[in-house]
Amino acid sequence: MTAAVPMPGVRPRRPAARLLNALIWPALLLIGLFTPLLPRLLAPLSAGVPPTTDSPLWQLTLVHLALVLGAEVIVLAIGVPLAVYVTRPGRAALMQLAEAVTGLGQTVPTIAVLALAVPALGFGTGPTVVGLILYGLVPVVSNGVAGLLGVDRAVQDAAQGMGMSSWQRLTRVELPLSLPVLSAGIRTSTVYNVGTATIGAALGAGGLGEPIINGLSQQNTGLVLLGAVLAGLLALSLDGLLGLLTPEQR
Amino acid sequence: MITLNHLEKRYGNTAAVRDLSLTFPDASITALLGPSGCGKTTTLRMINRLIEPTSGQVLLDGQDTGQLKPEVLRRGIGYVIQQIGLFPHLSVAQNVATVPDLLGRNRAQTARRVDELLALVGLEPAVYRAKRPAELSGGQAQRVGVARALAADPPVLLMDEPFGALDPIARDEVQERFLGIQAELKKTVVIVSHDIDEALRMGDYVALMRAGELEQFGTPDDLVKRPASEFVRQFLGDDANLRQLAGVPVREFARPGSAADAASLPRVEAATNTRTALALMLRAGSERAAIWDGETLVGVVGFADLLRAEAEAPTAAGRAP
Repeated sequence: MTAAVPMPGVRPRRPAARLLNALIWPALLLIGLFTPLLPRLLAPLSAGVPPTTDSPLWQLTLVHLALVLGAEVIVLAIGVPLAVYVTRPGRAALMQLAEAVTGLGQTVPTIAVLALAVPALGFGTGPTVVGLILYGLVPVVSNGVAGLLGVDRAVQDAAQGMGMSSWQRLTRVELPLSLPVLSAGIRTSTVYNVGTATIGAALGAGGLGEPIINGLSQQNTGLVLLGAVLAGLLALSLDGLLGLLTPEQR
Repeated sequence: MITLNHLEKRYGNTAAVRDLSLTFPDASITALLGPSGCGKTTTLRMINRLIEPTSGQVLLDGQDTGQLKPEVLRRGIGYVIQQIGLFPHLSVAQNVATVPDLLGRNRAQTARRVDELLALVGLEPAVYRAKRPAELSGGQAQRVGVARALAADPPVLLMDEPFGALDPIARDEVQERFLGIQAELKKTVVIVSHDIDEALRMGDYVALMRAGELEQFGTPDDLVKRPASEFVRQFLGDDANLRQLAGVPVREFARPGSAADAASLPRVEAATNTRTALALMLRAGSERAAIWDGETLVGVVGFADLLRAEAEAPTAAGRAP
């Protein structure tokens, strides 16, 4: 598994550092979107002309964000119940199967998944979202499973012995205690998918992949970098902001 | 009253507990004692149905626990385990309030009850209420564990090696405090232990198990002085009498003595256990010692008193009804 499972007990950076990290990237992203600074900087790579896009950059970014977050909502709706389901007692075989299948999703190249989805779903947003869901599931399921399995046996025994039903144990003990590991998975999954979603432009899904694809076909390096830099800043922004929401490891 | 009726637990062909019939008397502590793998923990966990018996019954005040919903049964039984198992994401107060919350009790009443219980186990509520389990020492954490088990005022308390993970000093302290609490609350307590000293010290009764079967049930005195089998005698060891003395405060052996007499004798505190008092007398090279409760002379005790006590087989002074 490649998914990031933070070591329990390792405390992340101090709150001030987290806040700074969370705010610096969105600030740079906004500068890139609403000032002509970035295209001007990239002009030397585009034969001296600042690269431009058909739709405004902020619109491309919003489409991109919607693709990623929309897919992430579905990922959570599938991934969290799946992690819970396979970690119930007596389902060890099912758990290995689920991890193998989601792991397989990550070993198949993105472009292949998207190419395979096109005949089924046509061009556009559909196949892109399917690809994003498949990729996004891996870290969420494997971190969800790791988090739930990592809940101290003694704590579970005490919860059961005091008369909590299995639903109460799940909602009051297991999920809260696995939340730090699970949300690290959600963060990883979201950030990966900002990158994956750029490929969606090849299928006509729009987003920040558009200038990249256009730049490649026009051999306009400045245009490629415009999309790439903004996608990178979007990924770092989401990483920082989700980091603020991630509870500290206990 | 908890009654085990031909209780049996099998895993495949091996029996963890075999045809066990036993009654745990009300308002007293019964220690389930025995070597590892004798089935004592399995027996305990069958009482609150964390383990389902293969056959036989557990009766709680005459009611077959197999007929109850496991969650409902468990909310009426306090449960304390060696690893403590406090919920690390909740405060001390929230931990203690777990069962009252599950029972849907009034929040304000529960908050008052939590403070009472923290005070009862010797943790200042204002200081400890908001702490997280990670901020507590082992002894403090287990005291919170005991408070949590008592929160809904259950008549029955099950304790699985509750003091086994504590260092000797913390263990003595928590045991002592628990005995004080028990003297006040008079719960029906079943405590699993592999520690003979703990069983003899804490138990009003001891049930000694071996390979899934009951070897002997009786007061600590019965087991020490009238072992039912060679196994019981061997398990308790040659110094069983000394171990038993460790469970009795020396105050129980005091005879009246004059202050003038006492002045020349080594001094022991009234709450000191008799084994330690004996050790003090041996070290001081004195056949007798003066027992003091602070500045008040309680009396004197001599080797002869201990010998006579042995011969008369006292009701181990105040324990056992």
